[in-house]
Amino acid sequence: MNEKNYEPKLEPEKWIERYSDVLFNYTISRINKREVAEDLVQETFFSALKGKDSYLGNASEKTWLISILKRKIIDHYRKKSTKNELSVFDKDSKDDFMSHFFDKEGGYQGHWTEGTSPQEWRKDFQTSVESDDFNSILQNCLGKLPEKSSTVFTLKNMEDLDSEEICKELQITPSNYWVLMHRAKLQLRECMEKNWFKK
Amino acid sequence: MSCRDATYLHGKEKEGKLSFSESLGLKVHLLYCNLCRLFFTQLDELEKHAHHYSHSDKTSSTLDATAKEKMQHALDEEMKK
Repeated sequence: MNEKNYEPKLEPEKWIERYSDVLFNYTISRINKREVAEDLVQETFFSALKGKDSYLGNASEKTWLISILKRKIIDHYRKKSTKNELSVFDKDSKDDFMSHFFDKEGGYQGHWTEGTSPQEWRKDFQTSVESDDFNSILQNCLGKLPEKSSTVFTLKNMEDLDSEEICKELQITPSNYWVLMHRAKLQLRECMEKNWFKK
Repeated sequence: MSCRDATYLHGKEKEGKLSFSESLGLKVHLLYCNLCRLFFTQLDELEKHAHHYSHSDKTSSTLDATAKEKMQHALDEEMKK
């Protein structure tokens, strides 16, 4: 088939109308701050305009714009991560955090504490998660996590990076990564259970 | 293996990063600990839904008209350059 007349084209004058909401949604689910999200969307359009000669047409305009946005989101996280001088890993804070969830002493060391043991969740939770309410509670709970923890959780589960890529981007060690993920999971699960899933 | 150690390993098995003894220890722990079994199942579901939520094409959050106008102006300026 002769397709040499087809030339994929960018139409910047239509970008805002076509894609600003899509890009905004993409961003807000990963960075739940309106102003930051708006800025990143704007920067994406600017970068795309500057770099439009690099568009090869092998992806749709939307996919191409999203790939630029993804990069900006990761850069945003990286800048915040390397700026953050607070040590997440001093032993005392780690112990306090863990002792909320797991017994420190006695015969059941490392066992779930009574108040934080996972409970059975509603049988209909699979369908209940489609709703916008669920999504806003998820956002809320993610927002309660310390920044570094929510960042690794988001990069892993929303940006689909693997642990090695995340370590590289955030300049953390694998050990840091797994500790952060552990904390994120414990806190997130507890928050969701309290707010959404309890029977 | 304690519950604290077992929960720490969630996610590591999916990336194939468990040593043989960790893997075995975890399997055994999950056999007898229903609390950690719940944790693992629930985390799998949460991660799946976080992924689904972030990849859906729904536009439930939108930019208001003012924000869009502002962006359009700025972009128009850039295009003129």
